[in-house]
Amino acid sequence: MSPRILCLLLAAALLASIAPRARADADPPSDVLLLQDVYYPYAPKVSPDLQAQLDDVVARARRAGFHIKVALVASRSDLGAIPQMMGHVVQYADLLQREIAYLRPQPTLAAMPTGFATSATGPQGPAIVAKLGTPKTADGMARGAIAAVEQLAAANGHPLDTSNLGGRRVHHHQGTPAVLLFAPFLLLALAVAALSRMRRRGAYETPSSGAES
Amino acid sequence: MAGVARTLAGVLALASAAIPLAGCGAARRQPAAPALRRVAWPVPIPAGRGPAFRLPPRGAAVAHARTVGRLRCAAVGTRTLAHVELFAAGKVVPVPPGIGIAPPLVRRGAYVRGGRCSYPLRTTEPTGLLELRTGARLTLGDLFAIWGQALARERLATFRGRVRAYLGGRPWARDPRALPLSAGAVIVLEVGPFVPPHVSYRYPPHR
Repeated sequence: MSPRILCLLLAAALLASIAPRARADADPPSDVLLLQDVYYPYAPKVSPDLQAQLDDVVARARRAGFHIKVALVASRSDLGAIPQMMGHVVQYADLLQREIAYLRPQPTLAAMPTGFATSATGPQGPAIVAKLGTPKTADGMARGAIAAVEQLAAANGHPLDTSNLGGRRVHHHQGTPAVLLFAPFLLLALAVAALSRMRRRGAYETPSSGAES
Repeated sequence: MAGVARTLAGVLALASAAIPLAGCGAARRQPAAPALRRVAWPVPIPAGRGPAFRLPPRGAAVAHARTVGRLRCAAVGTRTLAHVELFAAGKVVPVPPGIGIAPPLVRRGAYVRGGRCSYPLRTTEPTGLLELRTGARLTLGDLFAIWGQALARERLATFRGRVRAYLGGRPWARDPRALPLSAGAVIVLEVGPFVPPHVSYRYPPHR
């Protein structure tokens, strides 16, 4: 065996020992996102209200022409065979995007307790999610994702109307305006007042009208 | 000798490049990620598309809740988990939700929440997670029988070719149908290009 061949063999062995072993992916989000647009973590669960809102904003984005897939990864269980990706949200967003893309890049948003990351969401994507900070909780990831989807859609030329998301107004946590909250009571009070006034007027007017006849 | 030296220099250059290249395309964006460690980055393998990869969850017997071999459709009972991943033509073959559950199915998005009755082996999500009735002695052949798909040494569902089976990352040399399904089993089946099988799977918390 010539020294050159020996060196090449050594090189191959050295590279094999140095380069990380690349194995196939088997992560639940990549499977679930083939059938729906949002992956929710096994545990802890995202509250049903926030799920409805996130589903809604993603559906609105899709209708507006911005089809994004969202994965909320709360623990290593959400990563199946690749738990080592936990905490590496940037790398995971990129991996996930390449797993689920078909014919063209698939805009993807990934969230982990350490932060948010995007892939194929345009040049402003990274800056938008960088402002969201670290969500810590599953609900925090959902809230951040709602805001991110809205901003990413707008940045890609598809501004969304996010009023009444999921059937409720949420995402600014300002609650229902007081005038709307008390409107039924106000209307009821007005109706009662009007009714009693009519009755009073009737009580006074009937004798006189009778007298007239 | 100069040639050997050049080759060695090339080797060292390649070796030094291997570590940063391993996370190729990943470290270019958000600052939220922690410092890169030596992580075995997985290779993205896209899911196959088209009719050959889009397999229905059941055959005629399960559709009518009939007995399949020795497996009967009954109440759910307590269950343990195993995982199976299929590759063909270098792509993922999705394992559908609803295998081993007789219709009408109760669906919620990508998940199946229930049905008329369940076989000792079923799937409720599209992740390859298998729910096994506790105490049942099951094999991979049972999974494919309930699924209504073919499995043999030269056949994996709609794909033909030598089937390679792995249990916990180790090759299974016998008939793939005989591969035992037990709690925590991690199974990979492949036809076509080799995909390094994973050896473990992080199961979700008890449900």
